[in-house]
Amino acid sequence: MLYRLIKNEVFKIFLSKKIYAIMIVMLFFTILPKFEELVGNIDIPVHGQNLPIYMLGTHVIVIIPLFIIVAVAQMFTEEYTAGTLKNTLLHPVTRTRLLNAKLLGLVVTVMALLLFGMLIAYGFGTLFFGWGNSFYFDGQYYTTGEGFMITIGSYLAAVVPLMVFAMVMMLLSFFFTSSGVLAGISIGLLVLMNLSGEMFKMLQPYLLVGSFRGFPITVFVEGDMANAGFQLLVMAVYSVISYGVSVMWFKRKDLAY
Amino acid sequence: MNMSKTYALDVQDLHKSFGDKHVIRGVSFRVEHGDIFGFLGPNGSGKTTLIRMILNLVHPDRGRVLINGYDTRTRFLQAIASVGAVVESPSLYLHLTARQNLKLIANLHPELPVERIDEILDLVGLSGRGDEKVKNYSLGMKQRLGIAQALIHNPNLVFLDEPTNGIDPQGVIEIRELITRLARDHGITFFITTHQLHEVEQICNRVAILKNGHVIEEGFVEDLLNREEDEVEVVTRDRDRAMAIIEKQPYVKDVSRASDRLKVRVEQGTTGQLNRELITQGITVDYLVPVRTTLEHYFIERTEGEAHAVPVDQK
Repeated sequence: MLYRLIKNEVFKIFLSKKIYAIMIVMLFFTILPKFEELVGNIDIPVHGQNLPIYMLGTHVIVIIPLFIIVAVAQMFTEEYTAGTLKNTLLHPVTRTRLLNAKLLGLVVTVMALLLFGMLIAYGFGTLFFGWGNSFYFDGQYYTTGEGFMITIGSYLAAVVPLMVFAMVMMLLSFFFTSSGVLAGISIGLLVLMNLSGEMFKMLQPYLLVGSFRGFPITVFVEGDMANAGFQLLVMAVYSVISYGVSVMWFKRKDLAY
Repeated sequence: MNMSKTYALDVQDLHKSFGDKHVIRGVSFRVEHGDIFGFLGPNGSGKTTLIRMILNLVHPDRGRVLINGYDTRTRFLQAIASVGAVVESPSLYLHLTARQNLKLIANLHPELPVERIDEILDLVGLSGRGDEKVKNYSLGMKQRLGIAQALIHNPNLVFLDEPTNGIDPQGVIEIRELITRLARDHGITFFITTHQLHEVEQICNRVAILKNGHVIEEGFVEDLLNREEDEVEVVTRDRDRAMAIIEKQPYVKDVSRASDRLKVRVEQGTTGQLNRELITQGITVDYLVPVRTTLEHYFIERTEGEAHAVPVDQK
């Protein structure tokens, strides 16, 4: 049943225009380096092999978190107020399972978006700048094989902090009955977390947003496992609190719409 | 499962408060298999809240609900498996087609054959419009699609909350016929809330009336309407004399003036005797109109305490 519920969630997301709008935005940002090159702003060697790892930051710090905010608002707040959330619960489905299916549906979608982002970056990078001789990132040169491993691993690892963020958004969604208000507050929170991290460096390790790009780079580029472990611990605390409270809340909630 | 007699729905002493407001106050009733059960009540009486409580969408403070013998608190998945429902108004994904909306429900029931979606679209009269986006549907079409959602997995108990709301008269007739046909041919038990009391009278065999969170009446429709007295309206120009004569008759229970006529309540089967008495006494009776007690009349009487009978000839 869980598989069927996930399928339904993914089906609904891919039948909505929002995901295609996000893909267009990703596409736009991926071709930006070409314009930057034309105006002479690129100061690092960019080519097909390393454009995906440079674009990862843009995808996971800005675009995909925005998509998650919009998707959570649609999956929880809009569905609750439109009454469609209860449709599934009028069949042999527990509330916890429905919640899990929505989260896992989001995991599938975020992975699909990351895959899309990575592939277009490889494609446009090669088209605009050529494939390049080796993989270059953060002042270091790697072999093409190592470059693939770092890129694919980083894109996969980025799913973890993004899904923790989705759980926080899910919890937030239970407090609002307007998807617009939820989206506004969530975006505000995202900006606030980023600003706080910039202004107060000692807070950065505890703010989830730092891990969006930081966690994949820590694991696959820096190889700092102690730092990665700490980030995982912080993310685990966020997840346990957000998921636990969400499940308890949702199980007890009276569905009035 | 309880081995004693199981009901399609057995509601026992349900209570629910929202803050200080006690909305449902000890509601109990039973629905037998095969019933078309009408659940009536004025606006705000708690009908929709009660349906939500039965379906576990709103948690009761006290009491329990058995669906086909399964307690919804402890065996909800078994209880809900054979239930279909449209609560309040059909909840649909407007940007999807009718077929896609139904597919989302069908996906939850792997046993359903792929052709079931076409079958159900056909059953509710939407077979030619299944690939249109629901946002382009009329209210009536959305109601039909909601009913299709409720029926797609072949439930044996179906809850319909105001199923004819916003539907044109022709659509109302079609939905009424659909419910009757499904109950008759497929043995589906229906639990229907509606304001259309004459609809209930025509299709329901049993009703319950909810007022201020209490069930104030429950029973077979024909029993509720089967009174031990008849009501007639006497139309005559000689109203004063007629009134004096009528008041003296031992079988007359009440007489009152109403514009050009007299309203008379008499013991059952004595209307003819009253007519003969008036003629014998030289009163010219232009008309003597029997007034049929309708469910609407009964409902208003029970929920407002004021009778508004509808003459048969005015219906």
